[in-house]
Amino acid sequence: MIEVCKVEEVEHGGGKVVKVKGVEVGIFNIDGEFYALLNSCCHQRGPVCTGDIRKRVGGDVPPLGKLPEEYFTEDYVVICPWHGWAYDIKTGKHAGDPDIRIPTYKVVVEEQTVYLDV
Amino acid sequence: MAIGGKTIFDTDAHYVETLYDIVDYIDDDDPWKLKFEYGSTANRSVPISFWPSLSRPDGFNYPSIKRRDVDFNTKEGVVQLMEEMSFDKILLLSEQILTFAMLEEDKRQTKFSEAYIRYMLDKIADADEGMYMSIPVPYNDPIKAAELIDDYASEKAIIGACVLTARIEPPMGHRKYDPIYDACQRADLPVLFHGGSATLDNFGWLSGFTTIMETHALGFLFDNMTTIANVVSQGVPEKFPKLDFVFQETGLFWIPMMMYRMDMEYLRMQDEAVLMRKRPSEYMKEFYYGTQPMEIVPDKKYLQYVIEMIGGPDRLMYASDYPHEDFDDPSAINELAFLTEEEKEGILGKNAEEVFGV
Repeated sequence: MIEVCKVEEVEHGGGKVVKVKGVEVGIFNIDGEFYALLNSCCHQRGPVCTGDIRKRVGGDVPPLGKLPEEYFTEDYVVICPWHGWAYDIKTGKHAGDPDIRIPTYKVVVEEQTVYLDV
Repeated sequence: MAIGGKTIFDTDAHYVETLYDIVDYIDDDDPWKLKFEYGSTANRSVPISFWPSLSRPDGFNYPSIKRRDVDFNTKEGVVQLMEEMSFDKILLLSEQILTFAMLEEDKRQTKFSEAYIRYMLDKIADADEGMYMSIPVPYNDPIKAAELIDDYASEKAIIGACVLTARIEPPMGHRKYDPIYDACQRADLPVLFHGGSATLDNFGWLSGFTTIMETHALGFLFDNMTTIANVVSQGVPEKFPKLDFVFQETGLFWIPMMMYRMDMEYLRMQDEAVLMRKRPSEYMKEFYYGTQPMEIVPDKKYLQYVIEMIGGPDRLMYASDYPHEDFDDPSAINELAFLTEEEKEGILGKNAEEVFGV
């Protein structure tokens, strides 16, 4: 396990990019749970983990003749600042195509310290 | 009939009806009958042709040509064409539906559609003879269009609802058209999206061209690219999951371009299209496509790649576009060496038989 940061360094709904053995990894805090993604977008290797973090937008089939109501789901995505590709922070899967996925890392939190299990 | 044992189903031939043919099928007590009656003082606003400046007195529009002396506005003409071309089945499209692109929102579309349906059912369409027809969808009035579909979809000879996609505003993904799709889905009637902005005058999308070579190359593309982008992005396939969609008269090479271009946009902006559940290309691989007009390529392998990209030969339906000049003979499919005999059989007939349920 490799120590990457302290819990208080990553606020809820926020992220931080750290370097582990020469590899950039984004550390995210969602509702007190920590997640880690490789900081490399599947599209053109952009620094995805430095992008905006927000809840994914959803919508359901509306009644005939109506527009769908958009709403925020409970899933958080991080959005690559280069081209806008959005990834689910918990799974690393692209919000529009789950077959596109950036590598995730197992995270362990002990005594207010965040570790990567690599 | 058939060719080499393969059933031939032409899924897009333009029956060349005239307004003279259909006016008798407007009720006598309907004032609109006078508006459709050529020579009537009330006949002020019903166009007789999509190409007003170039139309020919025989009802064929330039650049249409007659082939093999088949007179294509009688039932005998349809029979003759089918025999000469070895067509076992034929899906007839209204020729005058091409005028829809130049009609503002009023009753001309709905009045025409109902009279055309009545005329065709009475005089031409005949399921027992393999002569089928589609409902020309009067999209300007989606409620009335849905009523027409409800009223006539059970007719054995009616196997599709055709939307002429030339210059439709808003495009066909808009929620105002939901009643049309809903009626088609209830009736298990595939929706045909047929391009049509081929004219020099009234091109619709852009003015300033001086040759039909340009507008004919671009118009069908504009029509169906606009339609496919909007229908997919607005989630029409998700709203009406049992509905089959067939895109006609746009050839094939535009499809992979739209698939990958739309995928690129979707992967950046899918939060705008909240009804979409997968990539645009995945929806497009579930649609069907008429093969006509087949692009002319220097090497058939390019065509092979395109067919592979859009989901394989199962997506395709042979279409002749008779009697128009960019007509395709069944040999356009039958002589493609990269297709297996089974694949040719699918494109020439079986795929359409399955989709249209005949």
